[in-house]
Amino acid sequence: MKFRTLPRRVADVLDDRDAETRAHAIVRRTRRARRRKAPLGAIAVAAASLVTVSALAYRTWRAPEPPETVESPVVGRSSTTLTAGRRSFGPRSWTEVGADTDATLLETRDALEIVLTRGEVELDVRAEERRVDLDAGLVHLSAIGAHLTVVRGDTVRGDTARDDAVQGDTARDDAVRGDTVRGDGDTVQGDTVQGDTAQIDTVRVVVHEGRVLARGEHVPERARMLAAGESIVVRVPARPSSSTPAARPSEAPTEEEVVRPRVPARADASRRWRELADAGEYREAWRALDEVGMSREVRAADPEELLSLADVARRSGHAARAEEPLTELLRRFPDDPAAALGAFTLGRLRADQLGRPADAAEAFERALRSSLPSTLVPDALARLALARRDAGQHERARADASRYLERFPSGPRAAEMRAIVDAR
Amino acid sequence: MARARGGDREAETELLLRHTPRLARVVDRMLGDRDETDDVVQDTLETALGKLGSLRGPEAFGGWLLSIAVRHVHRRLRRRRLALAFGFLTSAEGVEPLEEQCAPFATAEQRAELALLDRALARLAPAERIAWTLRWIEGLELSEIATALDCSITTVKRRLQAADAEVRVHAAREEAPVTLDDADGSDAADDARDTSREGGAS
Repeated sequence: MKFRTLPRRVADVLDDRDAETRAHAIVRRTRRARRRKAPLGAIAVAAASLVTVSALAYRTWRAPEPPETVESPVVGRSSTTLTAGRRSFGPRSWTEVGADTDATLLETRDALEIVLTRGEVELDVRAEERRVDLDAGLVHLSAIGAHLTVVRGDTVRGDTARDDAVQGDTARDDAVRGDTVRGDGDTVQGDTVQGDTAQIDTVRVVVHEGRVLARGEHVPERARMLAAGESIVVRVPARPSSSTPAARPSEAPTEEEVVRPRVPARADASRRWRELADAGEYREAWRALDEVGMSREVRAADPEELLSLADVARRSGHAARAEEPLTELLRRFPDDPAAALGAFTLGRLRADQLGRPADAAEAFERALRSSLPSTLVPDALARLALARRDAGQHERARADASRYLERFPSGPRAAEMRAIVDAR
Repeated sequence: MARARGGDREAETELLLRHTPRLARVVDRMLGDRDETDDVVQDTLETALGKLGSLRGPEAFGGWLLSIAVRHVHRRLRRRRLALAFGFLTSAEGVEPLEEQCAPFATAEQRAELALLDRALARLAPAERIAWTLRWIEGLELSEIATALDCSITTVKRRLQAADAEVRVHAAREEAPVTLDDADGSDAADDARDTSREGGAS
């Protein structure tokens, strides 16, 4: 069948409707969804949950013991035990098994919780299957026999996981008070509470053996299964300042402290926009993002999340707001593979929706200089020529169009490029 | 492909990136709705990755992917058609008609024909619509369509004939300023070529 004016293949007169760009976004979403659905992840979570619940049940079953203070922290030796009282650091729960000037090696037989307060920390996890929960200000390593190395970082405080992990800051500060582990000299200090600040901390978890499920509201896509040799960088907001006097160990937390949610509402919104974006619910995602603040998310996002933020803004009808995550992506992660795609998207945004062809040309040029996927190169080159033409840079537009025709003489946009070359 | 099947995530991503743009384009032509297209393509990729081990020949990946997508599209078109029939939908919300999808260089006559074609396709049963779209909009060969629809070439031809007839009737009813021509001889040549490839399958 043939129509009178339509070509034999009707698609030849149809626009590709951003299929290339959308395809990249779909692949990204698929990968994330697949990671979330990984059955191994579910098994690991179930196993880790069982271990955690068992550990907590065991601790609850045992007769309560009076709180103790740090007695004799011994540092700098192999196989030394930190005896800080069972309530906070029972000798069975945290063992310093080795130390040198670069790292502090710790081993835990119960669920281990580390509170991040400042600076960067690199956790070198040697593990069988286990779980690392990276939540607001916390790294919670839950597995029997968990084994990690604090490679870098000057203010990591450790504590065994227990019920009061869900209590207020004061209660926790008290529970972990005086137990700063220094990566540089393996010092276990007495009552020193390092200067907690509200600044963002960075945690890098490197897995050397086994598999680790990293979870938490700041983990990209909320959860990521890491195999040996893989790592993840998570920017974690530090816990609020503990400069206020810590409560005495014997003091029970106030009701307000007990009911204070561990994950703030803002973190919920932060998590929600990602979930909605992954589900393709961009309008809803935008609303959730609006609650938490685009700029705040932009500051803490990794390259993939920055692309997601731009997608949410663009697809929810807020094109102008998509520029911020994309420019941030190019500024902070210029060498990341996502940067090329970000530059291309930025160019399209500026050309098609913001009416700034000169800026668009700049972005397309950058995309072409980067490692843009080969399937996008013809389109990027054509768009560069068109943007230059629209910006009044006719000579350069002609040069770009010629370049397109040389490389893709029968490309889908060859006719448009010829028109630019022939225009005088 | 071998690396992807062995669980190499980079290879998987590379494989998906190579095939997804075309898949997204084809699905988009069948559904006309960007959001639905994105969902279908994502579902397709997830299904494909989950069953990658069951794929026999690496060269068949593109066709296999399309056949998975077609199943999803068929389901969605059927659902859409039922919703319209029972009045749950008054129009196919979110669906962009073909004339709004045309390239900037398309002529006014081509746009008019696309509009006519779009209305005609909307009247077709999902299976016929998919076959027609793959054949005449995407330009796939009969054997490729048969693979995608998981049926014989004869069945594909029957569906195409039924769809052609409906499109022709619709064009006549609208007294469109276009004529439909199926006597250019090239269709017959294609059919002959595809039938010979079919090797007698029916």
